[in-house]
Amino acid sequence: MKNLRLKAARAAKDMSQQQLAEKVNVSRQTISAIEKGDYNPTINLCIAICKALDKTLDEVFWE
Amino acid sequence: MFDIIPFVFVIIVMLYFIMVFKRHEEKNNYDERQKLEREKGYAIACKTLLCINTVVILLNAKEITFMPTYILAAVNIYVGIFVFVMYCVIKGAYFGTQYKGFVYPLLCFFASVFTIVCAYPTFSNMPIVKDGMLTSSFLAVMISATFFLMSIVMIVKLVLPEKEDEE
Repeated sequence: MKNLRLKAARAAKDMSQQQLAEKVNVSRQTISAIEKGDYNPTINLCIAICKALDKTLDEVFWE
Repeated sequence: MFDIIPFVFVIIVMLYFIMVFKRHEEKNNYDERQKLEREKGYAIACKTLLCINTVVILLNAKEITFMPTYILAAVNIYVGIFVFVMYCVIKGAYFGTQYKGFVYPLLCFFASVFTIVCAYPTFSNMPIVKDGMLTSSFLAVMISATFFLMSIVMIVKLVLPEKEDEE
């Protein structure tokens, strides 16, 4: 299932996938895979992404 | 007895490559998805080698032999490397998160060119197929083609700007 909230949160911060990837120290393809729902990140990566986007886990990842 | 020696050699070389890959991973800061994809890559490469060996064993059982043992060993090594590299490059898991250079693709490209240039003078004496058996000239062509394809795919993946998956 696609993670549209992550994409929306990233767009709201005016960040590209590459910029978010560099901020959380992963590859751009990993961010793309999370947004497309092809990869389920670990809780550590979820937290790092939430911190980078100034969001809570609930706002970005909770169904 | 002596037929076992090439296989022992192949196992030693493969173990060496696994150690090199592991060290390479530690240095290169792969993220969690990349590590997962690389492990899948190892598994796929291993299964590919098993398939090749099964086919060769079946053909041998039917007394169809088209390559000597040492060529089969080399084919196994290069096919394994090729499958692993291709899978990882396509899945974006070959280069670490910090990697931005072109050293690996260029090394592969030069390895390809040098192999074929060095082997070319021997092609007149040693054709690729002799008496229905593949010869060492086939190895040179295969190694060169493997490295060439790897370098091209790596360069394409590094140079082409990837579209973000915006909708």
